[in-house]
Amino acid sequence: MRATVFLLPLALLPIFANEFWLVHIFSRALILGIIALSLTFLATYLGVVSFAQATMAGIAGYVLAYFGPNTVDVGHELPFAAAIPIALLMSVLSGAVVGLIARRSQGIYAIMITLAIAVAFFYFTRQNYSFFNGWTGFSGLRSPQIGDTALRTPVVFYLLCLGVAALLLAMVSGFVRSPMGLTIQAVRDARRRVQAIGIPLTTPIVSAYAFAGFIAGSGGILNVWYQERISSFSVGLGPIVDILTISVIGGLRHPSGAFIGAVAFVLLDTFAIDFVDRERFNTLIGVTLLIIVLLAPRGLRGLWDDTVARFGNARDGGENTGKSQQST
Amino acid sequence: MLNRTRKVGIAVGMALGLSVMPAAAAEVKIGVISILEGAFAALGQDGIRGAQLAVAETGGKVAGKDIKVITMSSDASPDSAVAAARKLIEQDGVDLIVGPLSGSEGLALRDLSKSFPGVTFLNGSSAAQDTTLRDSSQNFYRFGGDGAQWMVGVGSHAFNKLNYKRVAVVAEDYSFPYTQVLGFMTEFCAAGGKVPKKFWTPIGAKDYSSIVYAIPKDVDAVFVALGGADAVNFLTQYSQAGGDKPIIGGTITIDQSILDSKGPFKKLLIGAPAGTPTVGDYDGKEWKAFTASYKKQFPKGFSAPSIFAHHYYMSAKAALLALDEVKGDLSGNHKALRASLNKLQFVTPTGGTMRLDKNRNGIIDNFVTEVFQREDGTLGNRVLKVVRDVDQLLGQNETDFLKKGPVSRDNPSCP
Amino acid sequence: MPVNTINGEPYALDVQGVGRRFGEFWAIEDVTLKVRPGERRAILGPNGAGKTTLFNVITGDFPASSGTIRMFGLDVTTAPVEKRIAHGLRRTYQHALLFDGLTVAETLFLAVCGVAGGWRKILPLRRDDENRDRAIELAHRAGLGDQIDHQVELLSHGQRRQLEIGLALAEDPTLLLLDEPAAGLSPAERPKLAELLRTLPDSVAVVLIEHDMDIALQTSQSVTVLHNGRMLAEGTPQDVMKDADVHRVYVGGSHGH
Repeated sequence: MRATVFLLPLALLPIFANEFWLVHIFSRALILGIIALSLTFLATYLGVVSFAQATMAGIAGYVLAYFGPNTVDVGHELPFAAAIPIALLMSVLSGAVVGLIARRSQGIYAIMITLAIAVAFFYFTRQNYSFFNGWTGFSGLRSPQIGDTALRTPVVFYLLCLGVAALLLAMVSGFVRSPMGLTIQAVRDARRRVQAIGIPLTTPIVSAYAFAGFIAGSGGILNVWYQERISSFSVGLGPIVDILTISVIGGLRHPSGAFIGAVAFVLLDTFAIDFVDRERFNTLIGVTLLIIVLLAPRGLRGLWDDTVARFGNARDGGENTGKSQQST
Repeated sequence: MLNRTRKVGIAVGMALGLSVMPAAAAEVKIGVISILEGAFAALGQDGIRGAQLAVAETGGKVAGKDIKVITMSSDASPDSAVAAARKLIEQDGVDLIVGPLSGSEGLALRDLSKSFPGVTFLNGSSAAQDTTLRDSSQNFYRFGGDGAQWMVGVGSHAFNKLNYKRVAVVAEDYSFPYTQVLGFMTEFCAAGGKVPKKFWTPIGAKDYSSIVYAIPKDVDAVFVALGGADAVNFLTQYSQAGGDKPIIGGTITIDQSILDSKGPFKKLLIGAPAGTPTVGDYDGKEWKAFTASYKKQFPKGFSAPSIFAHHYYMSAKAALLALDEVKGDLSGNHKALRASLNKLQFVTPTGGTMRLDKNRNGIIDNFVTEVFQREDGTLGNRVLKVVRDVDQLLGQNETDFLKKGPVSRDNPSCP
Repeated sequence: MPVNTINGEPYALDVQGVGRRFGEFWAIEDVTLKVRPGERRAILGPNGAGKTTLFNVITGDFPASSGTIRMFGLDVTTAPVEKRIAHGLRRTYQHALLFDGLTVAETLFLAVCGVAGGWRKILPLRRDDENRDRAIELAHRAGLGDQIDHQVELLSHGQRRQLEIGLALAEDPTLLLLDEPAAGLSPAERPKLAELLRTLPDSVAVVLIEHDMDIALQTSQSVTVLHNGRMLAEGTPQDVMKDADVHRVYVGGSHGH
């Protein structure tokens, strides 16, 4: 299995990496990668760029905060066995609702409508106190315990994030080979033709958004365990742009691009401040991202494919040039 | 690198079932968190200056160890403050953190501090009440006041001296303005005043028309707890709509930049009282010395230390005084250092004696100021009154004070 | 009263006074078209006559602005596209409209699922799925038996037209609308297409738009001529050939090919 070639070294990472790298670089990258995966999934297979993925993740996070242990006296604590499925269900529903609203929109219009939904939700969380606790949000969120071990323990948490990411990637690759997954790709390629073979558009579009909601929600749950808090800022313009940035620098043509983009983003976000003076680090991040987008228009994942293709060509005497270009 | 080596050392030690003491570090690392991006960047930078000034005054050494200052930026969001603190602790291996700047960030770091007993947190300028009053954390200190302490003296001045009986409130909708409103209303309502209506607006709101026209006609004044551009926008729209009620300012409402800006609202401001722990041109001798030291160290800084420089300075100074007293001993989760901080006393730049209450919140000096017109027609703030020894309970009995419940949009209330 | 049946049987397609407006412009107006089950009908007309618009209105790609449309007696004037497909309607597009990211087999599989159901399944497609077998059979019928696993994007122009036909033949259609299926085909490819059309079951009603009058007249039992969005003539190929109006419009105007 090709997947094990990648998974095994990643699973062995805790032997080499210290806690900071394990949690704040790799786990964070995996979580952001999962949320970005939901965007990349929509972009790759439905051909739609959605700005509402941080919102779907945030909805799962908020639900878990509301029904889980917190220190802000809002919500009803339920066992995790109930709270987690409710959180996922709500993120799936939120995806379906966004899909229903945006089902007729493509291109710039889909971007506008999903952005409008995301911004409206952001302001709603900021002004609602009974469910979202306004500006301050929820803090003191804890991950579940298994026996004596909290899932937030660095090594356990990293392996959990890795496992969820691998599972979601596997689910994506299975889903896109299902009849519904094929229908979603057909919608991407020719909406009118899909109707002309007897398939209504709403169901596949809403299903794609709902599945993206499931992916984003899984990331959102891990994110509240990572942050141990959630607030209106978690669903604001900052995270929305971060997720888009990750997807774009990773490359929107392949699901795994989300994770490559996330690692690059987290490394920059964490260490840029160590390289330039403190007032300019955001500029460095911006410039670096710009360079990536300019040099690798199809993202880091595309760059990787090109490199592999080039080496492959050198080995095979250039036989597969046509094919590698066509398939990318 | 040092930290990583130490962690590996501990891990190896634990693996072998041995207990190893980390080697005594030759330097003390202090992380400073402030807002260095966005609209607050210039003010946030002044907070960093305050911390740097305290370090510079010790010559960059404490108890024979070098002091290393590492700064991190947040963006006013609790999430970003937590991320900045985690990076400082887990990557840079800091021993102490000074910061953050704004209210909800402080609540977030207070919560975070409970997960890192090996790090001592000293608040920057964030001023939400519950950061120290409720759910306080053993390793989170605030050598400064909360937003309610910063309003002490204003409520009684408004009722007794200015004869305001009914006041409407316009404030931003988050923890710091809640606390400011509480500070004002505690005195004002106790004196017999009424607050018939409170308007909460989102930070960064541009359109205040719905509020401007809803302010009751029968109030004597409007208490405005908005900051920066929000204050300018509200005051402009209020005076353009013909609003003529006198203004009472929150701590960050009537700063010099608003007084210097052109606008029809300026006439509303003349005579407006406000509460603040920091007055740029205060003429106390300690303040003058502090200002001189600040200007010498930072020729490109502001003309006088801002509230942020002042508060970051006090926190960093407290940390350095305590470190010096315990000879840099940070063993046992900073046990000695914390004992020292708990009973530390020092003279503040405003001339009072800084010390902590049992929740590790500062007992401070506070000023009641008033906007006045200089001979050349420009506006300035002048000090009406200094209130010394303001504690977080605002002079009340602790049980009664806590019984009133956490501050919120609806608490306190005296319609 | 319009006649809705022929010999007691409903028409396969019964278009009654249909018009379609874009803004102030009527692309087709007052078109009436009755096609018997199993009939082979050609629609003729110069560029811009409204032929493709008529197809789009019949399939429901664009709703009709006026008039009614019945298929086998069922009023589908306001029905969504997929409901008309379920009722036996299929079409091809003049410019092949295909799923470039899928393979030939996957494309035809969806066409089968669109009628037979099964596209809602979310588990990976099984190799032994019955609809998949039918899709492969369909690929062979459309002459794409060797290209089953080829990506549609990589097909030649002729193969794309064959796939269009394949999509239209999925699951036993009863009414086929073919929009210039021979357009752009090489002389070598044309006989294959003609053969495919000839082997259609007699029960299938076929409406064919063909720019080339000679081909249209050879393959059809009856002809409708559109001009400027309106009906100009209707009848057997021989009658239409003799029609003076048709002569003026067609021979006098530019010849499409």
